[in-house]
Amino acid sequence: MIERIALFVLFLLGFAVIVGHKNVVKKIFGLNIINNAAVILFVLEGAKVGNQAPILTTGAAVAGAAAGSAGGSGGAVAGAVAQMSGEVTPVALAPAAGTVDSACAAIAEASGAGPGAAAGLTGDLAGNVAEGANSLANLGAFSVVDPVPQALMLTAIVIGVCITALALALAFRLYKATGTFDIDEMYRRIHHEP
Amino acid sequence: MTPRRVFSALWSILPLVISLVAVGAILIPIFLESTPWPVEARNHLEDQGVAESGAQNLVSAVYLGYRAFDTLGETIVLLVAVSGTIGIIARAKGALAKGFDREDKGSPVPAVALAAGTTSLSAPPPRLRRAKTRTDLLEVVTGKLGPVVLVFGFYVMLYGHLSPGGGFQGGVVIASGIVFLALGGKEGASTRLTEAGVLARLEAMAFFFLVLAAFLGMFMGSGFFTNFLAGVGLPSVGFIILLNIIIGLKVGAGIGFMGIAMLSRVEGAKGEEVNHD
Amino acid sequence: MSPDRFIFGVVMLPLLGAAIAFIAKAFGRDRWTKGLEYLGAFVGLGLPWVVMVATLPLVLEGGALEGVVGLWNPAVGIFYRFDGLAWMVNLLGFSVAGAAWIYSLGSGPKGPAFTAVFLIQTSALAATSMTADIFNLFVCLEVMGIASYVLIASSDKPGSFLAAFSYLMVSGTAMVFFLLGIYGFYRLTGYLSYQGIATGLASLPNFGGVTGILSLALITAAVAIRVAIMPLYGWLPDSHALAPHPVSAVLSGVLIKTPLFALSRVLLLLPLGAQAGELMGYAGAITALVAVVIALAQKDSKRLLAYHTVSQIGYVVAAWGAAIAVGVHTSLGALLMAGAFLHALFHALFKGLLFLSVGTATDTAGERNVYQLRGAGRILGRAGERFPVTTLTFFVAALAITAMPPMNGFASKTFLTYGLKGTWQYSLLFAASLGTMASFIKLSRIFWPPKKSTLTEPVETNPDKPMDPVHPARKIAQGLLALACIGTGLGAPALFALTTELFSSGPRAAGTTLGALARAPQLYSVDTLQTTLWILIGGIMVFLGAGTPWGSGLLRVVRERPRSFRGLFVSFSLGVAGLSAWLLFI
Repeated sequence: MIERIALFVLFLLGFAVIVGHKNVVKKIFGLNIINNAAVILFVLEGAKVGNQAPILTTGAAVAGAAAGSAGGSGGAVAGAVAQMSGEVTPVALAPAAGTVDSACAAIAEASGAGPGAAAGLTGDLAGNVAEGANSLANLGAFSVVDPVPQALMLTAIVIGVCITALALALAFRLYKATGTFDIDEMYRRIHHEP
Repeated sequence: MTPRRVFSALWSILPLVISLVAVGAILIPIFLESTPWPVEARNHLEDQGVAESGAQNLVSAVYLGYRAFDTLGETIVLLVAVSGTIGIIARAKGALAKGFDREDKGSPVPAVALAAGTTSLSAPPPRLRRAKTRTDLLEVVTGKLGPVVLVFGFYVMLYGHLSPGGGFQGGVVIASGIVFLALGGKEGASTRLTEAGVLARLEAMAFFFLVLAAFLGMFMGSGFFTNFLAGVGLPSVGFIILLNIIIGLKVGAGIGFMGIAMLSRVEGAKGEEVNHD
Repeated sequence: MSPDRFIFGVVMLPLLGAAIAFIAKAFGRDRWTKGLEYLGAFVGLGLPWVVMVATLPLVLEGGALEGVVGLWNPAVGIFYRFDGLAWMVNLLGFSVAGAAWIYSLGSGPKGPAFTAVFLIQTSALAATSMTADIFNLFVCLEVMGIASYVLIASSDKPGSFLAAFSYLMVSGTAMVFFLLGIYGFYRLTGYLSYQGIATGLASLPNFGGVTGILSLALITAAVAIRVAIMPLYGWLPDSHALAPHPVSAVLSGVLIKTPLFALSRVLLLLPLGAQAGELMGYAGAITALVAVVIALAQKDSKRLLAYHTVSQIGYVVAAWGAAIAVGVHTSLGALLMAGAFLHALFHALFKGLLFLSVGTATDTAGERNVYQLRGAGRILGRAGERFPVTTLTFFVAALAITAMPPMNGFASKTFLTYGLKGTWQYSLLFAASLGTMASFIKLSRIFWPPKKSTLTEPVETNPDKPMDPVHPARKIAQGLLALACIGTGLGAPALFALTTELFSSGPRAAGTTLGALARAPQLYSVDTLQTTLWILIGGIMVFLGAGTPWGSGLLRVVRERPRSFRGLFVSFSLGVAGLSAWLLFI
């Protein structure tokens, strides 16, 4: 709640600069500030539904690391194997679901597709991993944050940067034309023409 | 302070206060809305996202796969902004003669009459105070760092489907690499990457290929912006990698171009000044 | 090939053309540049007509192409909908943009970069007309916006920079509010498609409560900035008056209407959309009258035209809002919607023509002041215009905008006002018609023979200056648009039937079309001609009244009213607040 109030205040600050400040460059900053307040709000709220970045390899590695801490180095290797196999199938995500069987299946499949050297390890490690996956299930559900707001805001950020660049170029030309950064003065000088 | 002055000060900020109150009253329910965040899209992406798009980075999957059409629009905004900004700045040469004289604040001269060429403003433009823009430190550091930054930019761009990053992010890093090279470059440097013409061509070609990639789906896939690579039997992640590369090159060239243009503007201003002396 | 494969041609072909033009610019400096640029323009403005013709049978049958762009999963993908409405908006866009591009060959900024940005703007128009996703609408509006800022600034005058800057700031701020509206809807429903949001809101208790209502208000107000209705119109006159003439034609003709019809998709689906439309309709009727009074007060000929754009869009919005309020399924709603669209289409043609012909006249004479310039026809004649194309086309357009039969403006205003008869908006629109008549009598004085007392006639004072001959491309573009004005005027009843039919595509009541057509007025009845006569007489009276000392004093007050940058934002905040209050408490 407190962070949203802070964002709201930030937004109002930016808006006050746009409306109240006379300097055009500061007005452009104000536009930037309100844009960023909206972007942060969207991303922040969208990130409250999960606890992991929306990148699923990280998910597998995290699962592996958790398993590793519980059952020795096996889990880490399993994660590595899953990564080495290169081709990510939904099955590789299965440790995230926390079920032991599919975790084993994942390693079996991943190492089958992966380099031969890794395949030999799998048999020894399956037991450890099963243990690790159990402890992972106890750690609480693994879930990623909502990736949609992040993708949308990526677009909004780029658009905001473009608008800022164009606005600054216009402000530069206006300064060259009128010799002032004061918006009222610009209006007065330019609308003086017949 | 007399009451009258207080009153007039209050009067002058009244519009600001009114608009702030209006905007604040409307926005506070939106900022403080506490409905639980909807998870349908997230759940779908978590379960099916990798299978459908081929990218483990779900953000990449959304903005280059599911919503690639938005990304195309965003690229266009960037393209227009770069071309517009450069155009506006480039045409600034001699803008003083067309507009108002900065020194002559008392009697502004109508711009239209001046633009029409009926009068010519003979007052020379005011001298810009020339700061020393380059130092040895800057040149050495940026010159050495430039290639490293470029390589990192390419890494961010190429691995966008696996790790945080992607075309836009990588492109921006590439652009800063280009600007570093330009800052650190000496006369007769062996790179052509800092030439405005080269960057403009790179950007135009990348945009062309982006439009083409969208078009190819019509003939090789099953409609615009469908994954045409999957249509010819390549792994489906190839589409996202391809778009990442195209967008990365386009953004890198575009923003780099803008940076170069602004740098050479500094040079142009010097040249102008010399002419007037 | 099935239509859903190539339907995005209307968006992508202009983009391909723009890409070709950018390549021409980047690799240019030889004789291929011009060829490539023209190829790009042909690809971008010519080839989409093939798509339009190919999809005509489908939309005529009342069908609509719907789906997700790129066939991605609908949970995240972008929805689009190409129906009769989208087809008509594209028709409007491509006809005016084509004519304006041809005109640009003869005047104003040229070159591959201009062509490319122009094509991008056209592409954004097409994309806006067919999107069914709220975030995609945001992106389309931003593309359209940034292309217009660049194009307005391309006339390279200090005034145009200031106009572009003001427009950029106010519309950029509005788009942030739009983004917050998207946030509100996404938070409540989890969808970005119009249909998804509508279903999601319907399933919520109280339609999402205050947040749902405020999100709708934010989105509507942000689009209303682009449409430039009354409290939010402040950016328009300067930008349209100071942009290059072909850009003015497209901005006034097409660019401000496309967001309106895109918004109608949103409002028709969402709860409380009807109420938002209703308020916009009221604002539109007031806009029509107030803007025409300000227009009557202007000195600068292009600024006068720009205020007329605000006024005419007020007509369109008045009927559009009433149609949304009663629902487009009803026969009255269908009639009003078709009337609104027809007026938008015809206004695009005659206002484009006005900007182009007045632009030619004022450029040749070197004078834009309505009170100073006289005998523009003679000046044009001396500039080598043997057949008075510009004079004739100006009068065609002026007759059209003042709703004189048989021009197209007469037809559309008759259809449009007929649906509003008996409401207070009707009397406002009638009063606005008198003002339109008066101000065009005033504007047409630039073609009157010069008076002895006229102080300056720039060409006479400067006889040594060689006259630039009027470029043939300008004449061709003006001629094309004038023919379109007359042609659509004569064929208006058929066009009206077609529009009504196209708009009733999709899941709507089958009887709507017939009902609306049955209610449509006879175009040339005693009643309508009588109204026209009254407008003519009343307009002349207003014109004479404005010439009296009292009238001109009043107009001077209107003309010299204070305008400031801050005013744009204060009126925007108050506009949003007013709309929110209306939606919350009605």
